Amino acid sequence: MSFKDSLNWINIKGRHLQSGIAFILHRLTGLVILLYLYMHLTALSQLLNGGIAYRNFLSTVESPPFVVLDILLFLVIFYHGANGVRLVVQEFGIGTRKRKLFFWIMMVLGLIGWLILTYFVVESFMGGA
Amino acid sequence: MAFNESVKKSMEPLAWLFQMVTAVFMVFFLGVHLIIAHAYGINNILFQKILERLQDPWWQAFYIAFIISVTYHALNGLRGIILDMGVKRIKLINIIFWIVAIATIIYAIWLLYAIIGTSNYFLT
Amino acid sequence: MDKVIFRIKKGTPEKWEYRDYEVPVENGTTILDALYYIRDNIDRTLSFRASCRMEVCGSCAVMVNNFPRTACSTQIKTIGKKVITLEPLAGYPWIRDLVVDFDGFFKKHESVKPYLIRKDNPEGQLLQSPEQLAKYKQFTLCIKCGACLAACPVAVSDPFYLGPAALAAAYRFNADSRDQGKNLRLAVVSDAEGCWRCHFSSECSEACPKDIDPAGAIQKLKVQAAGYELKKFLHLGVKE
Ligand code: HEM
Ligand code: SF4
Ligand code: SF4
Ligand code: FES
Repeated sequence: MSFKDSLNWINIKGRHLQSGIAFILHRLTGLVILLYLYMHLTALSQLLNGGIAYRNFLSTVESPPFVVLDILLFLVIFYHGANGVRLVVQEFGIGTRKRKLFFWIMMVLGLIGWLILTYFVVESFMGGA
Repeated sequence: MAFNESVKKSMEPLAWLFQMVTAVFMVFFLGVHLIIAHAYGINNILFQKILERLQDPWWQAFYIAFIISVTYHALNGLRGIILDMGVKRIKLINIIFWIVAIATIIYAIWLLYAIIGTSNYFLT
Repeated sequence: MDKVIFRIKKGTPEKWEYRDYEVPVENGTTILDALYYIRDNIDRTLSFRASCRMEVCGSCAVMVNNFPRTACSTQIKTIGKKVITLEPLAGYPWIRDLVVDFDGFFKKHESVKPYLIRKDNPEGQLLQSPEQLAKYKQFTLCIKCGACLAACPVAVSDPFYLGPAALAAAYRFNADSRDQGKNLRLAVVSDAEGCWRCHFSSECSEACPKDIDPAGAIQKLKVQAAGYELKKFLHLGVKE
């Protein structure tokens, strides 16, 4: 087997939504959040430079394009989190035959959570500006 | 036949268990973090607000636990992804995992206290 | 009578192409029927494996439109496509046409000790209640067709991963009340290339023609292995 085979897991051909696709998405979202985690740690070092530097940083980040990116990142996090809770339950051997049902229940809950957070983010952004 | 032969020495079972445990913790940590940092708008993450919050030892403990959980969870996840690709150098990958994880945790906790330290001259 | 085009990956790893064959199809015609039709009427050189024609021997699994299925128990009309692509099973060394090498698959199977292990040498029968039988019965239905491994995103990326069929077989014996070799098997499946490579993508369970839910078996195996390791961890220094 070659290095090309190493990435076969990413191939969505023939995969099922509540099984293989859910798995690939879980991975990719996990990797995106991992990348974001390190970006976040780097950005936080702005706080060391005092209030003025941090205020400049905030005024960049609290602008419409960044807020939209934030909301998209929340979607990524909510997918990973909602599907992750399902995986914790199922990897302990519970309801493995009911994976389709569990998947959709968690997707609905995740979507509701994301919509609620997005509402508050947008509202406070509009009001607090 | 050797009947009391036991499970091969491997950190995989505990690594998995800890991945599941940190996943559950993270629902709480990440949930609280997202709410305080984003749902209340910019006024909740002003410089003064952050420094005031971080004076509280409970918040310090919260962030330390969050840092450890998220670093372990994300890097062990990455370790799994690499091992899932037919890589044979498992020992090497485990060593790199621990070095990066510990370095990240130390840096993040150092950053936390460095930020708290700035309040001596930024907060009055 | 309807006609369906079968687009088959034909050749060897060195030299191959997709070749189209037109096959007449009725209600109930299976993919294996189509393969025999092609060999008898169109192309005598087509290679594929089959034996029982009734989902018992586990010889005939192939990739049907990118998903593994046992050819003998897949009816063409249920797929509902006018063009159907057939390829050799993913994740196995390819030999030619639809034939792959199952050597590695059976070596993995053998490695989990898929047989009863006893400390004693019991005389007479080992009795078992219906409840004890029910704990593992579904997993005895495995026909070793290897479809699950071809569906598994991890197994097709990592040739060393034990894979769903072998792990489900390990669980089958670990759940058997007559068996006494649980820890021997856990030693094999708890390895880094064992059950910890599984992330419950559950494509194996989608693929299994016997619907034995190998993904479920693997998760239960994880709980067994982690529980065993945790117990050892907490009784530090305690000899078993
Ligand atoms: C909201 C809380 C979260 C939950 C409930 C959760 C749940 C999970 C679970 C159960 C797994 C294991 C899947 C498996 O390998 O079987 C996993 C994997 C992973 N998680 Fe999370 N997670 C959360 C947050 C995060 C965060 C914040 C990050 C990154 C900073 C992250 C990154 C990853 C990565 C990289 C993987 C590996 C993916 C894979 O092996 O396919 N997760 N997560
Ligand atoms: S559940 Fe595990 S063994 Fe089955 S397809 Fe997914 S990763 Fe592979
Ligand atoms: S578990 Fe199912 S798919 Fe896998 S080899 Fe056995 S019968 Fe075939
Ligand atoms: S020919 Fe025996 S299982 Fe298909």
